[in-house]
Amino acid sequence: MPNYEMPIIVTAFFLYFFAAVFYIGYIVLLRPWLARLGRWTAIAGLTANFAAAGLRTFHASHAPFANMYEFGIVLVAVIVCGYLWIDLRYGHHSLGAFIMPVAFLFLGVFILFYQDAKPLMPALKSNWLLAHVMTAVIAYGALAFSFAAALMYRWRRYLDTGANPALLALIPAPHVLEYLINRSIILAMPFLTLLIITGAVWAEYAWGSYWRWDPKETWSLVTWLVYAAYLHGRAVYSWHGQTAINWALSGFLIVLFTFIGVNVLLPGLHSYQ
Amino acid sequence: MNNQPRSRISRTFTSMKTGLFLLAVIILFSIAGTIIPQERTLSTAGPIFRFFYYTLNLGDIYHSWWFSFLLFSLCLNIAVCSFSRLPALFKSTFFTPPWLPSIAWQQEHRLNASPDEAMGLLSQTLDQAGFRVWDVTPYRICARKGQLAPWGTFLVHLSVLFIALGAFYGSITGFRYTIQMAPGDSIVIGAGEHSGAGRPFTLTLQSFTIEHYSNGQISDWISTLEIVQNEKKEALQAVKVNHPLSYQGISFYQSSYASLYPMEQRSAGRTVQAVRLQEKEPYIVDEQQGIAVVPIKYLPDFDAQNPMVSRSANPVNPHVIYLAYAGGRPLGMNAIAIGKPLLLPGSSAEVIFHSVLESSGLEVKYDPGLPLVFAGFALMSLAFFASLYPRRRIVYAQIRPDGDAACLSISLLGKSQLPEEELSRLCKAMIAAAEETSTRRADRAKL
Repeated sequence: MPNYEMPIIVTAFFLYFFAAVFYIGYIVLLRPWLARLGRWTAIAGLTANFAAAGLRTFHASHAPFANMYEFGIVLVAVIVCGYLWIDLRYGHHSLGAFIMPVAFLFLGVFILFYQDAKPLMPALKSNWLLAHVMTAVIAYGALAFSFAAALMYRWRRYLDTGANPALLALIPAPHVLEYLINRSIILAMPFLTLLIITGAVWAEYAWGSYWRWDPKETWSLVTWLVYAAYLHGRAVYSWHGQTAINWALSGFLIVLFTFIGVNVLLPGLHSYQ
Repeated sequence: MNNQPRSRISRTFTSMKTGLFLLAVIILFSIAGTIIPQERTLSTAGPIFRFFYYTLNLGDIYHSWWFSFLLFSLCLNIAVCSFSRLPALFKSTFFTPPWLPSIAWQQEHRLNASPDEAMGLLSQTLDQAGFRVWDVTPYRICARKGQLAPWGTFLVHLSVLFIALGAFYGSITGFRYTIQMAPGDSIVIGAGEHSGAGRPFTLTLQSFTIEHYSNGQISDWISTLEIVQNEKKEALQAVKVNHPLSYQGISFYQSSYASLYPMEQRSAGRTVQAVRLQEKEPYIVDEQQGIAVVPIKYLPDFDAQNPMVSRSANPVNPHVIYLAYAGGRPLGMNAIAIGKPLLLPGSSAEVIFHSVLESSGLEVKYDPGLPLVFAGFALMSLAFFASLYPRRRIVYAQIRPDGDAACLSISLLGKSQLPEEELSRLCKAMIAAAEETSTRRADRAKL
């Protein structure tokens, strides 16, 4: 049976790219039809994304969580789903100009890690895989959202110096964006904790060691500590505005390194993909 | 006079700023540990660098004395910070919040209801929004929501201490080591230096199999282990990756597999020594003359034309690729058939590889701190949700008569991210309820 997964996921990549272009066009040209076009293109891209994930599941005979490509296409689908839910429910189309570029760039990176479907290696044959990966999808998805909203916050602040009022009306106010960023991080943090804990418990059952200071474990802990510092800063020292946004931005850069950089640059237990 | 600086030091060490500083330092050194190769030994370096490297244990940062000290300091800081806030936490949770002497009212609304009706509606609206309501005075209300969130925060910190304590206890009282067993091998566990786990027992590897998928990829390594204690069979289990066997607190994990090479050294037709070598483990035939042999690889179907690759997985022409040493120097790799004597150059001794056994590598672990660590994990998982998801806030409201109607003054304080929006929602609900009551009252009057 021919496998159409690769052309379908590449189609999703291009559809996300065009969705990003349409959404950016919307905030540049202030044409509402561009936002509508962006939304429908994103929905088409999401359909292709889900189709590729479904085909991968069919060919591999397991949920698409076994390597970075498989996990990545699910993560991007969840990010786009989350954004479309906000778009349809709250009508914040301008967020798409920041989230869709993140989605299409992510998908591009994950396609570079493409590998053919194959059966699970012994260590991955565990129910903990599902819990570990699902918590990762929620945590990283929410943090990707906080990153996109933080970029938007910076841009919104830049526009405060005298932009077109019609454009300002399209973009959520800084305090609303800050609220969204903080809520995204608060949503992510328990799942980031669960991500590390499920990984530790799983490692205990698989290898008899819940913590080995493996590079991936260590960077996950670093990510967790950075966001823990952010939460303490907000709760105790009332960090807000630029300080909080800078933490959110740098926190996500560490997430990116933990997620992608470690697998590529630092050998360890997660380098098997 | 002496107490002042000491208390300042004590305050500094136990402050949250110090905690955040320690957090930052631990983050930096954790990152350093992933960049500096953690090799534990240094091959080439100058004497000064070598001194610092070994003194600071840079080859094993995460187990160095100073990194352990940083972790201990952070735990101490967390413990002091958390427990010093405990009385305030009790007070804020279990005592009625006091009425503030001066409140800047954030919103004021005229309600189409009598003051008593407005009070009832106010309590009802706040109750429906999940607030816990106190009547401070007849026309003053104080309501709280999310007051358990600080307990979640306290429990998160407590869980960190549980995990640290469990890890520390396990590291000083537990043990772990690896054993390599071929099918039929038995070994006594829990004796000698590892006797802390209970009475000794005998572990036997009954069988070891490697399962494959149809594409040749390994599906599972399966070790069937039997435990016998006092001549009674206590356990029989197939151990796989993700399926360890635990007995008397000692766990056995499938960790690796390797080939074992049973071999014999003969001289003048008599057996000198019979050993079982692991792959790439040297066997020294004559130490003085530097003669040794190292089994490198097993080829079940040897092909002289392509000597490093087996033609098939079937034992048609079984050979061992070996590396011989003479005068302490490698002589190069060669192949010898299973069961055929190998005469090593410069020696009258001959060695014979009798067979090759697939052996199972098992990790043996005893960690009495594990229950505490797992309890910490469970507590942390729940406490994080309890800490971050409910938002702690407090509403102060008062009703004043305003002719036939009532005037509502209301303020919302606390962790609400968008207090104006939340307060507006509450007021909108109040006004709607007052209008509905008013309409109903008018309808009743008409009837």
